[in-house]
Amino acid sequence: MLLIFTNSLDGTVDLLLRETDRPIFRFNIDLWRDYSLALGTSGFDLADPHGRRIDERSMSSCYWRKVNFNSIEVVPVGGSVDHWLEAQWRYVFREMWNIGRELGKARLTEAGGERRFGKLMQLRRAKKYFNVADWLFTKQDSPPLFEGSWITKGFAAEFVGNHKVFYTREVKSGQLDPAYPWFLQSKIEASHDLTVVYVAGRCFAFTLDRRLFQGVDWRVDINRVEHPWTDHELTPDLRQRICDFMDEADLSFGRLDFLLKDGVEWFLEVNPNGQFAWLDQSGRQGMLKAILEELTTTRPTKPIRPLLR
Amino acid sequence: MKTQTLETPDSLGQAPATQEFELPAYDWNKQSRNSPMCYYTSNTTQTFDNHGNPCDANGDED
Repeated sequence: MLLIFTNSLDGTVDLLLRETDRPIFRFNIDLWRDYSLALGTSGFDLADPHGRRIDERSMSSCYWRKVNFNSIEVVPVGGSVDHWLEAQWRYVFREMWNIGRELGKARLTEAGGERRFGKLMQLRRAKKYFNVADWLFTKQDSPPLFEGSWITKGFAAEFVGNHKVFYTREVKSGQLDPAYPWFLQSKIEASHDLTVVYVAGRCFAFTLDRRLFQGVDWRVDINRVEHPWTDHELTPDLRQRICDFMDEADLSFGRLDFLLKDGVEWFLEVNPNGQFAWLDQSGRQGMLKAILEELTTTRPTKPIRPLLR
Repeated sequence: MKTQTLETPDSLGQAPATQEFELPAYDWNKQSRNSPMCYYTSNTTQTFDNHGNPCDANGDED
C-alpha cells in the first residue's frame, strides 16, 4: 500500500486516486484529529475513520506531497497550543517519511528537497548543463546598478504586505531601495516558457506562448486568464542534459522551468516537489501514469536513497 | 529638485486575483473532497489555498 503524506486540499492526490485501483492510504496533516496513530519501537500503525490501516510492513512505498496546514496562523506572543500542535505533527510526518526512506520505500520526492538543493545552488550547478542568465543576490549601501534589462524575483511565497505577492518583475538600474536584499537576474527576451516534469528519467514538456500575457510572470494572470500550455517535444540533446542534471542533483522528480529564446533554453529553476496536475489532465502525454508507476512499483527506476547506513 | 522614490518589495508587490471558496466535506471512502477536478488541479488552487493565501511553496516548511 502506498502511503501519501499531504493535506486534504491536495487535488493532485485526488487525481492520482482516481487514476488507479492500487491501494493508497492518504494521510492528511490538516485532518490529524481524525486518524489514530501508534508509533513506537515496533514501528507505526495508522488507521483512518473509514477503517483503512497501514503499518511499516504493509507500506510498500511512500510519497511526500504537500504537508501543510490550510491556514496562515498569526502566532500570538508567547505561542499557542494550536501552533505547537501543528509543529508537533509536521515533525512526526517528517519522521514517518524518514522511516520510509530508511526502509528504501520513499519515491520521487524528498521532505526538505528544496532546502537540500535550493534555487541558488541550482543556478550554480545548472550552468554546467544549460544556458543560465547572469544573476546576483545583493545587499549594498547604494541602489544596485546594472546594464541592460534585469528582473527581480523572490524566493518565498509569503505576502509582502496588504495581501500582495512578490511576482517576478522587470526593474531598472538605480531604482531599488538598498535597504532591502534583492535577487536580480539578467532578463531573457524569450518567446515561450518551457516547463518540464521530470519523472525518474522520463521528461514531459509543455510550453506557454509569452505573447499571451503581459509582463514577465504568467502567474499574475492566475484567476484572470486561462493560459493554454501545449505539449512540447524536447530535442534528444536537451532531454539528455536534463537527465544528467537531475542525476547530478540526485533528484528523482522535479518540475524544471526554462525560457525559450530562438529555440534555445535558458534555465530558471527546478522545484523538487513542484505542482504538475494541470499540465496533462487529458493524459495525452501519460505523465500521471508514469508518476503512478514510479510510486507503486516495487522496483523503482530512481528510488530515494536512504541516508542512514 | 525632484526626488526619486526607490522601489521596495511592497511597492513592487501585486495583488493576486484570489478568492475564498467553500471546501466540500472530506469523503473518507474516496479519500477526496469530491470537487470538480479543474477546481483543484488547476494552477490556481495549487498556488493559492481556499482562503486566497499563497500555499504552493509551503510544502516543505517546518
